[in-house]
Amino acid sequence: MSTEQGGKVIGRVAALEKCPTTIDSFCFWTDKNTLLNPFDVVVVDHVNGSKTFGVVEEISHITDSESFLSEFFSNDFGNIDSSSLTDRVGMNYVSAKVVGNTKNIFIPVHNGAKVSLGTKKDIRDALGLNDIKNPVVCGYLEMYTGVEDAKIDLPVYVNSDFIIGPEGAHLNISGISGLATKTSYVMFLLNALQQKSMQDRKQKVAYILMNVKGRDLLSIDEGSNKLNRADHAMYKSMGLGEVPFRNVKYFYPYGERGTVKSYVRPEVLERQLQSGQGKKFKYTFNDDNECLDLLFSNIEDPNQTIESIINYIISKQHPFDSVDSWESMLREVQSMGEKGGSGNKEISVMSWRKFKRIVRKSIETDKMFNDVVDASKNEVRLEDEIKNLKADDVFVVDIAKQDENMQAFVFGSVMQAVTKLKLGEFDEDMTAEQRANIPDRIVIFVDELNKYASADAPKSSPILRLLLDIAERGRSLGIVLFSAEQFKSAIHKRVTGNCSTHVYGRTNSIEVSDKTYSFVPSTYKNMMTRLQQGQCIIQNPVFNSLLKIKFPNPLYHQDKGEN
Amino acid sequence: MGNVIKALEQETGKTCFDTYRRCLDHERASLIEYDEFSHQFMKEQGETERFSGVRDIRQIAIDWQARQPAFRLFMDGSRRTYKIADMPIGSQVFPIIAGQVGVAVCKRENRVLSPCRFTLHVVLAVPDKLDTEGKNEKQHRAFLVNLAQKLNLNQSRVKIDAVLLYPTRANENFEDKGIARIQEYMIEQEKEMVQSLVQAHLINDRSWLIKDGSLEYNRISDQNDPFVFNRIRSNYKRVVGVSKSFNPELAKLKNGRSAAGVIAKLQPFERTPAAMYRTERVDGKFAVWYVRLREARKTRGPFDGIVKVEKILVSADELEYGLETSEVDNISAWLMNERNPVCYGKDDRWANHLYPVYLTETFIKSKYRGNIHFINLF
Repeated sequence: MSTEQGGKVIGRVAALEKCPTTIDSFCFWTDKNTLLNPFDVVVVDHVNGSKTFGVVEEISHITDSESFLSEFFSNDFGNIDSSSLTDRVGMNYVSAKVVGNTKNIFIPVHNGAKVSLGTKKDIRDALGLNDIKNPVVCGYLEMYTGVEDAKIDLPVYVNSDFIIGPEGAHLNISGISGLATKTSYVMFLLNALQQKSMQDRKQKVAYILMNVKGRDLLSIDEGSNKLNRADHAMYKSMGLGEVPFRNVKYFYPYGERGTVKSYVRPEVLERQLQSGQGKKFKYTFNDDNECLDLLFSNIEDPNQTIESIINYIISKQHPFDSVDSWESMLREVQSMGEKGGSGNKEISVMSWRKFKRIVRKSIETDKMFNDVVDASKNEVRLEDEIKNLKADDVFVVDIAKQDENMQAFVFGSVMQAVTKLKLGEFDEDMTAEQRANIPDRIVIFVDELNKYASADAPKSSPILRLLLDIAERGRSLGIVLFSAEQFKSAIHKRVTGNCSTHVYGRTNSIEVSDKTYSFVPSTYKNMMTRLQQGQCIIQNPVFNSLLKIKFPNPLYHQDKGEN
Repeated sequence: MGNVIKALEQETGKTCFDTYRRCLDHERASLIEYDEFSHQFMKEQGETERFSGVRDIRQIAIDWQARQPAFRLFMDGSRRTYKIADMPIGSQVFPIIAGQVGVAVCKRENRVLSPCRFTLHVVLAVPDKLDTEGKNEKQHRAFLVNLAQKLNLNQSRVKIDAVLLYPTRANENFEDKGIARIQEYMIEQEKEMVQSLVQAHLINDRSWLIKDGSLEYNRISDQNDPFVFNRIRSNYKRVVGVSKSFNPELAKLKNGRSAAGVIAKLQPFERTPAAMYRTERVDGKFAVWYVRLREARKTRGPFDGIVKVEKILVSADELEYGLETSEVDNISAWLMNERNPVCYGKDDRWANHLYPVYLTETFIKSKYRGNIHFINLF
């Protein structure tokens, strides 16, 4: 049976004394063998010929059995071999959330109203997928997978203005690692964004990706050979070309004696260096001393003595007025911390010693702090490269092999450089053409956000400050943060709160019990613990509801091999 | 256009008193007993084989489990009665009783029960003093049909399907009489339902019907009545009446002793011998026996878990010798196999209830209009 509009009728609304229909929700009964799923869209005939759309939230099965005892009695008082000629009367009742009405009528749906499956158009109307401006594909929707002859597949498009601005910006994805969801999904979305911006040229968008694990993102310009038939079909249906990222440059931290501190395969590095795609980055004292504070991002500084020391050095107060290298800086810091040393009145010798311990560990052991940058050997300063960032460029900054402090330092310096670029602080050094080439939007992707924007991070942390600045002002500046972490609950609320798009991969039940997820219906929470590879739940202001979507395997070569 | 009472006042020229309208089923719940035996009915043998004591039908029941169940149709009739007004006639005041009368049949296919037939009638029982001019049944019927039509014409709130006359002998409770008349109407509806099922060939050798309650139908003296027993007897060849409640003291053995002890001591899968039963009050002859569905120790009392089974004797052989013992065994075995699931927690009579019958009863109740709503339709 189907309604006038064509969807298969699967049940009727039940408005009870104890469970009335409301503006927001309703329940309907359906046959116990109708295989609906959470997130499926249902259509209810409503007043004035309108249709109300609901999204399935919870499905319950009940019988007329009053108690467990009744069931026990129904089996001859506990005889497991007993049989009966009649099945108990049972049915499923489904609670659904109202997501819209074709005539904007939001009075509760009426008892007995027919409930049917939606057509493709209904689903688009219900979920807000119709008439999307600046559409960029963000996944693939499967609905009614359990209902015979009713399965509907459709690509999901989202207004890119709500992902990378100006309407809404920042994306956060959470989920446990190892299930090929977080990085894969972000890379899928970034690829779609790059393809779109290269196609329609409406906005100049550039991308900076931080590679924090192994060789995950070190071959993103190479095509994948792992796509299966379903992936091909999905890409075709979504209208995406099967091309990996284009205009990619890789930046590796300078290592010992001309090598790089990275897990990259030597042959890959060689090829990238030869083609000019690969660069080794360094930090020089003269140009990068302003980044010094980033070395202290995870260190409590309640009296701001560290900050005072950094200011002291940056402002070139004696004896740092003559310092022009990391080495000489360390020497002078050493002298400031010596007993009876030159010191100064405001900062105690003990503070200088503390500063020395921390800064020496980093600067002496990490070879990227080097004062000579030789362009002929593919050596660069990251800030200089970021100054030259153009539309459609993809920069991959590899920090996978560095320790946590250095990772934070590099990430912080990238954010700092991008912020300066967008604030016009480099304008004086740039030509008019360079200025014209500055991208409208710069997307920064970082995994393991919890290392930089943990809810427990020291308030004085310069990285947290930078992240909060980007989260809060980035949309208007054109800096967009795509971040990932295992547990969203551990992330600073001001960072996640400013994200317009939230994506949830598979997570665990402890995580979903956190109040961060209090707005998520319990069934969806449980689904979050059961999501499979290639599935995620997405929330964006343009969608009327959370959406469970699928996405195909990435188009680039994922090097997951052992080191 | 007014309500039913106004229309009734207009038609009868009487003025009703305002009465506290209420549902009568709770205050007069024990009025109608299905089991009204007053006869020592276990004296006469009701099956072909003679045996003493009880009979174990466990193996027959187990054998039947592998086969399609014979009982596929389940019928229940039910009524709700309401006092809606008091009407003064002469020096007396008579209640006007309204009722909802439902009869439902559910069918079982592939272990799933679904509605098969259903009727729900709204009736009005009025005192026979309103039709003093009617001299016989036919004239009474004409008066009532005419009155029902008028009531329906003069109001549109509720459609009255039938108006009934209840007898008004002095020193009797008129409310009880009104309710009894509505009960009779329900039984007529049940008979009609069985007839329609037979005519539609829904009741047949492979599809028996269980009727909730007794099959004793009061004798109808009017030979023109469509439900006079001889006309409908053949309809009951594949119909079994199963009563949840009965008075065991009314069953007497040959020596005049009560059969209650025998019945109470029945073990699960055991049945009593079938007895033949006949009384002046009721048409026809019946075979009656008892089957225990559940162990006594798991229930409230010794008679919980036992059902009384009735079958109308139809053929000449049956009338002469009773039912074939194998048929009594089979019916008992089929009933045993209907013992699960149970409606424990939903109905106090769960131990004696058959689940498909319980569902049929639930189905009818779900169709009734709410009491307050119904009362205010008048």
